[in-house]
Amino acid sequence: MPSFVAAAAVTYTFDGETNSASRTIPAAAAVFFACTLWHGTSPTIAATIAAAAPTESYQGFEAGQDVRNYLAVFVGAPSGAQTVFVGTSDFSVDSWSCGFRGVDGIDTVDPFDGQVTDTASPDSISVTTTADGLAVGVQCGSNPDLGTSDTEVLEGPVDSNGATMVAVASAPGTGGAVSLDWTTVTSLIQLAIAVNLRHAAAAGGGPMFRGS
Amino acid sequence: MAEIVMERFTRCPTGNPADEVVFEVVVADDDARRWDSPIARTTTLARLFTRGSLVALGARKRDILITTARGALRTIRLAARLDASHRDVDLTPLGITLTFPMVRGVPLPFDFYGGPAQGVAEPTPATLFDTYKVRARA
Repeated sequence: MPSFVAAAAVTYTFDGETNSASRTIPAAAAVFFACTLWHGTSPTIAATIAAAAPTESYQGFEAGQDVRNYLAVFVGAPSGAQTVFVGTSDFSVDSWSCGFRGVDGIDTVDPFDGQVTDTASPDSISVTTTADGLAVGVQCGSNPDLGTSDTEVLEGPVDSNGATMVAVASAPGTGGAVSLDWTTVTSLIQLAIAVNLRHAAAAGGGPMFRGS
Repeated sequence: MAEIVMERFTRCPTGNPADEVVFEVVVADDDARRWDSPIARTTTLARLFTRGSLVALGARKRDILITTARGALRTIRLAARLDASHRDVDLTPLGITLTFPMVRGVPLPFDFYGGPAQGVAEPTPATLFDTYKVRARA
């Protein structure tokens, strides 16, 4: 099953259309990146690490709150100080909350499946998982008091408007539906998206021969 | 036309941004103005369509639903199954109106669900979402 490395997540916030800065990438098979964008109606989100596009990414939108959530997996991202870019191509009043963390044991060819967006019940989202997969969801809240009954992967800071933060939770796969849930005291929970992180494919792959 | 990209998928095995393939699920209204235009207006939700490369879906079937009401009464109004071809669906018969400019915190009169295909047949409009959710995965 994929597992997040012990190294703490790197989290940050910024205002504007884009952000490009040197950040410390952990040593891991892949990097899981997540962010939430307030005022994200029309523009879509893109991100790179060391000028490389993510192996796979997914994003969803919740129009009632004008929030866009994004997640991406960068397989083989170089560790150490690297330029991390995230941005969009539209408004100048965007505010963001971002974070990333290393992940091992992940399928490096097809990092995730089961992508789901559901705007109707944003504090809980059901992900179809594989038994050796890991359900991972990205949540956007409006105050720094989001909690989860699952395992917290990372929690990004509240943006400069005090409006949104990104909170990522995970739960082991079961070979069926897994629910990821968030709780709050005062926040307005806004949008969850989720995926099934796939377990690393077995090494080799050729036919097995049995001696006679 | 005001467009909202409800879902966006990308794949890039090489890491070279020039090789990235993108697939999007988009809804649009029947007005010429952009979604963020400050002009007050009421429009009608007109289309749900897909664009880009189906390769980004990884050859996995996918259900796209427009629903109304919530909780036990949540009802499928529009269902589209994505597999090996693009979809372009007329939403005007649903009669869902949108009011602009949008106000943060005011939910839209519909919800969106996108997820792996459930069941062997395309979901049926005018049925309950809860019924759909318990269908076996195809």
